[in-house]
Amino acid sequence: MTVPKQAKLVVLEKLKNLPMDAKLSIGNGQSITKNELIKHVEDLDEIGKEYIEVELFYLRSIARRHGK
Amino acid sequence: MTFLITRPEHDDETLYLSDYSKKIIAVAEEKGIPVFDCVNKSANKKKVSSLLASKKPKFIMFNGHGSAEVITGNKLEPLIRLGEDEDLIKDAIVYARVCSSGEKLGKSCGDNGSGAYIGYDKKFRFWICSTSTHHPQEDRYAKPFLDASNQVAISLLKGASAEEAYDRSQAAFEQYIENLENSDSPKELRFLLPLLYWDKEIQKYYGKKDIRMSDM
Repeated sequence: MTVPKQAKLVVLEKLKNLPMDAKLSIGNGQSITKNELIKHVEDLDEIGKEYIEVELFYLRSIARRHGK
Repeated sequence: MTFLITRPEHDDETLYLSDYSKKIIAVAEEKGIPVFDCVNKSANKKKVSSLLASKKPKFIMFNGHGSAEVITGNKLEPLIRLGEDEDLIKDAIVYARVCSSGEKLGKSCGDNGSGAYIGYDKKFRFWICSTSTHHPQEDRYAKPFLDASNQVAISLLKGASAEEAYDRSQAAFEQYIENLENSDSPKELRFLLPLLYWDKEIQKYYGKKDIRMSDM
């Protein structure tokens, strides 16, 4: 998956607002903190790219849902 | 009419899935449906395979980890592998709250069996509150994901068809989404929305849509 630079920046901006006590379960027994998730997105590794895919899907979904 | 459920408990994720599954077991017990509860270390290949072969449960629910081709149990021991173990489950109603197993395993069971398979085509993920891990059912971040996904099993045990159970779970996801999108909802919980949309989207079903436990 190729991630546009703008998408990465949008997701990083959104992640700043995550509560500090939020942990993301990412499958196979791993859960990661807010700061760990931010690092994965900054590094654009597999976990980071997968999370960006979720956020992009969400943005497309709400655009469809609200007819924009 | 029997029900088998696997509930490994070897990490935070499986502990949450297991704890929320207690609500499902309670419904089965209320309905007088015998439950084979493979919890913690008993979610192992030997025990689960033996129960599947000998008891032939009508409804099977897997909690845990997995991939497109494998469902795992305690400490990631493979319980069901594509191409090896489908005969044990393909004629039952299966609900796999497991990452990605719908994509190949679910499709194979649906194409080759006489039952139904409800699962997730990609990674099922949810948020956890780090201060609530000892009380999963009080975790307000995890609750929408696990309550909505619980609806598949609860609906099946209450007599719904595979399609109806899928629809009710989808509706539960939708209700949580609408509640969070409402302008009166707590802003601090709106970060849950992307994954709620995601988990709703990747939940799929295969096989006979009209089948229900009472038919089998």
